[in-house]
Amino acid sequence: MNFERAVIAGAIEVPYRRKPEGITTMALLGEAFAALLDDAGLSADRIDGLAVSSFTLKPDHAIDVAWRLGLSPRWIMEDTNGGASGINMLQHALRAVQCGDATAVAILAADHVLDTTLLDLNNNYNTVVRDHLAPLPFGGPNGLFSFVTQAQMRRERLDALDYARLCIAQREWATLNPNAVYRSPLTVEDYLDAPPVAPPLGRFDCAPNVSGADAVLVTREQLAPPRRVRIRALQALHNYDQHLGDGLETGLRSIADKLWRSAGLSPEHMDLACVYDDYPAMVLAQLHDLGLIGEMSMKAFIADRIATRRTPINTSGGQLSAGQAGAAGGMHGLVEAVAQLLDRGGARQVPDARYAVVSGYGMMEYRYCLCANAVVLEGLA
Amino acid sequence: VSVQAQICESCGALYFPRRLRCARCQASNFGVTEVSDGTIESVTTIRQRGSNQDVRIGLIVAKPELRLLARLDRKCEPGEHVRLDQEKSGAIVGY
Repeated sequence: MNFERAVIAGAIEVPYRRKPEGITTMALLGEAFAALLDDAGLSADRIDGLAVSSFTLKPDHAIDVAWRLGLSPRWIMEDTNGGASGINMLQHALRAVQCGDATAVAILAADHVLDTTLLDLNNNYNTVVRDHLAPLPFGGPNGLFSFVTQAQMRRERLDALDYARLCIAQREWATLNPNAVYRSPLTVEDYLDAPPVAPPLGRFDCAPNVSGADAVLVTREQLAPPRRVRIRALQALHNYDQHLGDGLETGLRSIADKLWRSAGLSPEHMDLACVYDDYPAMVLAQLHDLGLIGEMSMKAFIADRIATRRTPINTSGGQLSAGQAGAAGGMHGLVEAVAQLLDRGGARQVPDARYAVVSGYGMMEYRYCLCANAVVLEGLA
Repeated sequence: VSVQAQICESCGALYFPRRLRCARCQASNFGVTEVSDGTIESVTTIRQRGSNQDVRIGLIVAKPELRLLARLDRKCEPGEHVRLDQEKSGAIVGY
């Protein structure tokens, strides 16, 4: 089933900030909603669907957000899938609009994560983490992705310099993004001399924790402004390997063929890619699984495509430079891709960007994450 | 002195942490099997937030299809063999 009659009518990001004071997750959701209405030129009474994702909203839920925003939605959902939540909510919202359960769905994600909250979030992520990893202690996902990175280094014959190149390239994009929290250029020396976090992971391999929000509006085609984004294909596969592998692949590997076939496009058609970048190793894993690396080695792809920025990847700077706003990170790449396709990329605009692929990845279990999804987008002028 | 892993009574697959149904054959009857040692595949050192104390953790191959995460209470390197125990806290310790 294709996605006709439902489009992305707007996308915004509430600028990410490090350790802001006097703010709440609910207030960030409110800011995101207001900015989204402004962006799409719609009034609040047109919004009849609401989707929300956040790690720090409790004890509130999506309905409490609706009440505070003065909305009476005919369709509501809350998503708990972290780095895969943005595309997951998009998947549901598109079908709701196509099927007539709603005509305009506001998809909101926000988090205000304090350092103290972060430790609690990490240690109580789920029962496996709480019962078997937190008691080690395991240092949050950094420890797990140190092992995934080491396995990738062995299999793909990568070294620290390869990961440095990836992080430096994303930082180069970030220097062009006024809303990125890390904007000063990163050198190889900066990267290699950074304080260790969970070797081989150092500070610049880990996304900086920020507070912020992202939002996307999905509407019936008739409600959308002329400049909108169409969904060419969307696929998801969660727990694809039953957590029996080494974490070097994601569910994207199994769905990539169907994604490109149903999009009627191939990786070569993509003007940019935004892949979930909790760690550099997972950027490479998703690019590989999606088929963007093709027959090249990962090492060659990094040198020829990523470091040179000939293939625009994570053009906002990604979470590694722009910041990771908790569950809002699950929408960060989607919002950036929409901005690029609507020619709103400012100094970092990819010329004539028409097609983008965005992927989500998230939800750590015992050794790596379980959720994966991807969407192919087309900008319509 | 060991870790209690789950063994599928139908196909013999091993699991840790516990599952409700076997990921390989979908059976739901499990027994318990003791895992007492393994080989270190990777090691990292975690600096705890708010503390200067470093913690070494390792990814341990206990059986070909069973990888465990353990705190390493002595300095050890990938390829080394370690004995495994599970503390009351739930943490697996390699020594």
